[in-house]
Amino acid sequence: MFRISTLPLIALLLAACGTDLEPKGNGQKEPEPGESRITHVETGDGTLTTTVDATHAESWVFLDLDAAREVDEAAGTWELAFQRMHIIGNGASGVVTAWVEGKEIGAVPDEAQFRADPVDRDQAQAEGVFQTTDPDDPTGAGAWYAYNLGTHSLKPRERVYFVKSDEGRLFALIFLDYYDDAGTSGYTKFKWSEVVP
Amino acid sequence: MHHAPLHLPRVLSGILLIALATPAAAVAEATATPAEVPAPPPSDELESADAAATGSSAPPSRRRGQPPPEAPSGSIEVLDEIVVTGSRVEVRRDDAPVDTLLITRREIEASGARDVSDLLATQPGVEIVRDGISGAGLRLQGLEDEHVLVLIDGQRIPGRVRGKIDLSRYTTDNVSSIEIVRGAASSLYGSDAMGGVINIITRRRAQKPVEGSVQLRADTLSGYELRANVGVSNETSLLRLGGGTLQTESFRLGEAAEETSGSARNDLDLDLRAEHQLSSSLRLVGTASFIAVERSSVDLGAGTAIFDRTDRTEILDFSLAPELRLGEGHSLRFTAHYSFLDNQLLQDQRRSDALDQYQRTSEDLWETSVIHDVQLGSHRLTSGAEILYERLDSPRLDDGEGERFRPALFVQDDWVLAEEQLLAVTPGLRLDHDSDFGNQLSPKLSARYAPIDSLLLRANYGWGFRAASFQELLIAFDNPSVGYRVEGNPELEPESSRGGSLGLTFQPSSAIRLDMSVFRNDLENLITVDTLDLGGPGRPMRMSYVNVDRALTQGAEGSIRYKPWRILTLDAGYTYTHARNVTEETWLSGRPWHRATFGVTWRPDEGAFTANLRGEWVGTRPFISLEDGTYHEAAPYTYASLRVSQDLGNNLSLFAGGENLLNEGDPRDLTISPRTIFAGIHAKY
Repeated sequence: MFRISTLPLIALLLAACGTDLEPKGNGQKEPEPGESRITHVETGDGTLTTTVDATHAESWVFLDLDAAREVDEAAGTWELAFQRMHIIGNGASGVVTAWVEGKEIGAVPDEAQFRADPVDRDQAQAEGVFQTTDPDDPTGAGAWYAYNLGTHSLKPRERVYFVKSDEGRLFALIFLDYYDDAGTSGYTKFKWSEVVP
Repeated sequence: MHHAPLHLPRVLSGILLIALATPAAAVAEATATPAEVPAPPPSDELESADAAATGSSAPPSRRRGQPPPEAPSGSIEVLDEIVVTGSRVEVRRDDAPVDTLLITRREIEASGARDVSDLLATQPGVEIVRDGISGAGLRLQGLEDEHVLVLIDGQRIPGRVRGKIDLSRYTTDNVSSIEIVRGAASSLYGSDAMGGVINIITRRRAQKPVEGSVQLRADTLSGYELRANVGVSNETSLLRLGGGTLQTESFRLGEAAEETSGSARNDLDLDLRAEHQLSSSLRLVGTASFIAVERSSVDLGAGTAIFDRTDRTEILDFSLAPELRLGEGHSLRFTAHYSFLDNQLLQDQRRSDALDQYQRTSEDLWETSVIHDVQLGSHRLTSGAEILYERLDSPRLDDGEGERFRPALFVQDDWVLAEEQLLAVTPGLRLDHDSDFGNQLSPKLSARYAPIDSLLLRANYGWGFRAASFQELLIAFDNPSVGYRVEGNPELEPESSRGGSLGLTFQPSSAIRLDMSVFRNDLENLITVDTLDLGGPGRPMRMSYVNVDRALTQGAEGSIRYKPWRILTLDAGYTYTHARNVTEETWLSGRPWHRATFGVTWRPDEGAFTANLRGEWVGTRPFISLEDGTYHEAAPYTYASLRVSQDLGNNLSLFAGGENLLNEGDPRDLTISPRTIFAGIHAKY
């Protein structure tokens, strides 16, 4: 009888050593310091598909469209900067932007209204061409994305954006996504190419 | 650094506690004769109550103090039934100050219900609320999970998730009976007992010196379950050990491709009970149990993120309860109880680590109580003192931890004014002093009266309260994958209720029993989730807890049990519920206005074949969206289960059946398992 009574205690003791669920990870590496947060893929139709890792909540990623690469802010040669869903144009260097509704990259239509984003970054986030409703924007259609309140997700609007660079070249962009293949937000993806003014 | 989910010192201290009560040596040495030993508590194994005697159609007498007449085997067994929940001491069901719904072991076995939630789902006045992700909770009198106190053998259990104790954790295998008291019971139990109390009584008394059983069950959801228990006893001691393991697959409803509607489960439970009669006046009871429940599901986040979610809860529980009989009708019972809960929640993003989340929460619950019970003339005086200490460690809490200390005193006087008419009034009062919100007084007054033998009338009025939970006070939980944030509100006041009921039990013959009641609860400071900010791009939706001014639940319940023949039992019940948020002038979400239950049991005493069909019809339910306040009504549904069993002789039986026979369920309002067919074998010794 004594033996029988000790068995349950041992069983409880063994059972108490449960499974630890702490995540093991999917084998991903943190980006190395200095590693570019911008990647390009040839789309095949003459455009590039670019993904910007703008997942950091505070730091910005600066893209020089002329050189098609990430640059330091100090260089001043960037056209667009990305932070989470925020995108601003480099108004201080003479970059101007515009958008029209559409799904195809082509020549700049007459109705496109180019303007420079404010130099002040906070103001640019609030009033810039890529951002929420601009009082000067006749369509009042808001940011480059639509926000779904039910699913808390962002989806690019069907628009073509035009950017005149600090070198005077003209580029057209169409936003494709805000999520990477795993569904992580902050990965802004767009296809783009240089167009004839 | 990894650490074992349950710390060794906790396990060892618990084992030390239980070892004090383990009767191993005592069992071996036991020599006492039955005459020297007081009768064990008669509340258990009620199958014995209806195992004897022949039929009589006259309604049995309710007179107090007389030995209970033997219930005929074909009758509705009510007289011998002993309940404890409505008074904290054992009394006959008719002598209980409040109406106590009792589900006996015999009924549990006849139902074939696998777990406590299955069993309660078809009880009148008890509404099981199923959720494919976090399990099954319940409502009483239109009040939610957090307003219902769930006890095991009279002790609180930890692990409320969003107010809910998952009742599907607890299998019926080790349950002797379940008692349900509807309406405020804070005058005896303090916090949480606003809508009522569910008390799960575990099995204790053995039928034979050595007994045991093994059961294997499999179903069409790729689930299987293996359970076993063994009991050893003699005149003075008892040792019972039970355990089981369950595995089921997840399921999907609607057209979801990846997202699951219900979790896969992987459960393990072990329990141990030891009793020993140290002398003619002192009995020692100790229990220990371990439960591990792992639920796995696939969730969708914002965008296209997919998460494999695993939620693992382990609960270790010990109690020690010496009971001292000081004389006829005079006893003193001490209880020391400790529970430790460890919960791990992992949300593992597929193809990425970016949104992975891992949180570990632990909860300690200490309870000690002493209850003194004495009969003084026509007064049965029950009084007691309790101390509760609770601690929660969680990364979800603002400071990472919460602590609560709550001593309490209570007294109840069951005063029989007229023995013949069973006229009695029962005033009760409890004072709680909570470290968070101070003193809380909970009075209650109950009365019962039997003008004729076949009719018992009851009335009661009482106050109830619920202290805000740690989560409601202190949580700071971000869920960036879905895009919301929940914030605690340290300014919350305790919820309070004042309510009562009027009821009758009519039993014109031993073949029929009718119960009817009306109830009303007025609630103040009801805590609900409020949306502070709908959120936007880059800004999560923010929700917090607030006290709303007032709410009201009221309604009527009725049930009838009819035994036209001794082998056939027919049950039917109906509940009407009117549950309003009076401040907002809206319906309280999820409560059906109408609900009906039914049951048909075919069970010959010596029969080789038994059958049970039972179910519930749940009417239209109103829902109000937390996100945008929109209103919709969920369609009625019928949940029905069938179980048949065939005795093969040699203590072997086969059983089979189906759950959710009408294949009800939808991904938004009713995430329940689809129709499931099961079969199994049961062997006992």
